[in-house]
Amino acid sequence: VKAWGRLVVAAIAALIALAAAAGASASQGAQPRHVEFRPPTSRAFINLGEHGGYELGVAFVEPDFAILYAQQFEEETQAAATTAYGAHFEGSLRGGRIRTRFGSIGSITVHFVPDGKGHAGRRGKNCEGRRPRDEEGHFVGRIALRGEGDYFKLAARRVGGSISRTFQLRCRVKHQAGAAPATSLRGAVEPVSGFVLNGSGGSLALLQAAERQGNRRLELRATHMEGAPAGAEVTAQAFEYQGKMPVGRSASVPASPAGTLLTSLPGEHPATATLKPASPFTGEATYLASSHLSHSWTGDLSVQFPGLLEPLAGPDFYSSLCVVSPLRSRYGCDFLPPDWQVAE
Amino acid sequence: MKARSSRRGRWGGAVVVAAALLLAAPAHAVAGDAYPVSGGSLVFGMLTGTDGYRIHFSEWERGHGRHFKVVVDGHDASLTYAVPAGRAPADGIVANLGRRGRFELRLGRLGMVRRLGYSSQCEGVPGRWQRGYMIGIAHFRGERGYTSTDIHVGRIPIVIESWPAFRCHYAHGGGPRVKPRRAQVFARRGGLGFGAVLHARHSGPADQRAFFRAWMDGSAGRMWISREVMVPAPESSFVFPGGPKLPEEVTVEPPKPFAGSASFIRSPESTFSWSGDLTVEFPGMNPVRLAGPGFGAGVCGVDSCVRQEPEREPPA
Repeated sequence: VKAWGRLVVAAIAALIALAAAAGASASQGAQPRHVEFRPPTSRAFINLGEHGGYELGVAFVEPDFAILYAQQFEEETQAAATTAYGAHFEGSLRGGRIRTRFGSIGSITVHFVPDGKGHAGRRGKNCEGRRPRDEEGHFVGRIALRGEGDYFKLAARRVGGSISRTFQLRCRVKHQAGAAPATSLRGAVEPVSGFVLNGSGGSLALLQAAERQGNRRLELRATHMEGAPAGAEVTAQAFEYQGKMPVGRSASVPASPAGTLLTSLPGEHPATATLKPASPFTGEATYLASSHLSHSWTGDLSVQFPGLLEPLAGPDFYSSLCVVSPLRSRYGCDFLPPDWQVAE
Repeated sequence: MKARSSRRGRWGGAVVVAAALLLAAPAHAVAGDAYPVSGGSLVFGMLTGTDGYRIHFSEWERGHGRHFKVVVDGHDASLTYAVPAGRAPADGIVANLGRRGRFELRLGRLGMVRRLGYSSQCEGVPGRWQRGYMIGIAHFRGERGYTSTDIHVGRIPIVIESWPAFRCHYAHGGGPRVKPRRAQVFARRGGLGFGAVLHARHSGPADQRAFFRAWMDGSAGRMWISREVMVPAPESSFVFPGGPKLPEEVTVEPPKPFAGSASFIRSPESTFSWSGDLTVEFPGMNPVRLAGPGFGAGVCGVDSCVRQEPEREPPA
């Protein structure tokens, strides 16, 4: 249930980001000087349950974005791995009829049957209009989905879900918000990098590696933040198009244990690092700078995304190692440009 | 034990105003901010303790009540013992410090009442001060008798001050001039703390460029006790084993009443350890460990710091 809750949270976070972009927003704590009309919005979520060890769900948000999530979550290490498939849907969220196809993964054709357990939400401050409404119920129709290499398989005719609707609001705001930037389907699926969860300051050690294989882009980031306990935060991300379908993948271990990232000290030559993160990562890789101009990034380190096992080291990877003294580089490695090189 | 006379020049209104500023100043205030200082009154005097210590006693009355404080200083150490003031007759002090002693004094006033001015950053109706004396019992004995004083019906010179509420402004350009700092180390475990500062090369003689401080706060029954030692030391007592490329690595070896040394060292995990056999001996106490497990510690350079929280205890 907890893992499912996290999947819902992840999906809702994406939906909120999209909804915020789709509609105009008011400034927090605004003095009511201007009148702003906010358009109605709808979003839906289908709970597909656990299949093949992965929690599955589909989020729908206007204008026509459908995002299929497959996620694994490890309670003990807080490690998470997610793959998101993006598609455009046909039909109407307001009417509860949806039809979408996720490329080779499969398709969904459903309509919403509310079970009467709806509840009204809260309007924004200084707004007039009908209160937002969430409705629980079931999506009925045909659902046939199959992950790459059959990492999950699902065929269903009735699944649980919900639809959330907001209605046109008249709001008094201090500043009228300009038109929000349009969000693309790719933007909704592509993993966002750069969030740091542990530590109190900048990163004292930062190891990065990246590779492009055809249209697949792969990134690895391992960091130890100032003040954090022994260990490192490790994330890997991948993005590609499968036909016209954007596919984003991420794997993260926010608190991989002691021994995950060991580096030489600042100013020490040769600069070295060894990375050996916990599951969903396996193996280890070594960074070795033989000179200021060349270094190697080798090993059997790989990551298991839902539906994709990817090596994370080798001669085709660009890599960079930053190890700094916090008293010499005040903001750690975070504002230092990476020393990207192809491993030799 | 005879009481030593206190001198107005050393104990005057500036002391009160400075203390009031310190007590009242909000930590987040910036230059130009004004903050209120509540009105109050103060009686204070000084005695000579054994073994070269001075024993200052005072009774404060401010907005939040009255308390009695004994501050013992000498041999690079300062110890404060504070208790709520007991009920006393008008113009008198009664304070029970338990095993540390007892003060029961009656106050007499001498000479004219004078105006108590404020520093240029403060404004308000001026306060008043007056010389006086106290007669009665003043008995104090530090832990394990590191110092003591015992007066029976002696005459102790004192100063009496009172002031109404006033306001102060932070001066533009900051407070007092501070010696430029090259590096600083701090470590803490509960109420026990250690600090070391290395001043810049051009600031003062080389044998006093490092400065070490340890403190321990705690309570014994209803008495609050704060212990502190501070010693200057040569620059050589504060070294950087990691060299200029690793200025966060520091080893300190302060002089007595400290003993041993401690190091702040970076690991290949980019975590830091604060370890060593450094101890400090507060007056009247056994040596107290200042490094090792359980201490959070950090090092600061000229404009940035690095710190490491103590390792958490594994769950039982």
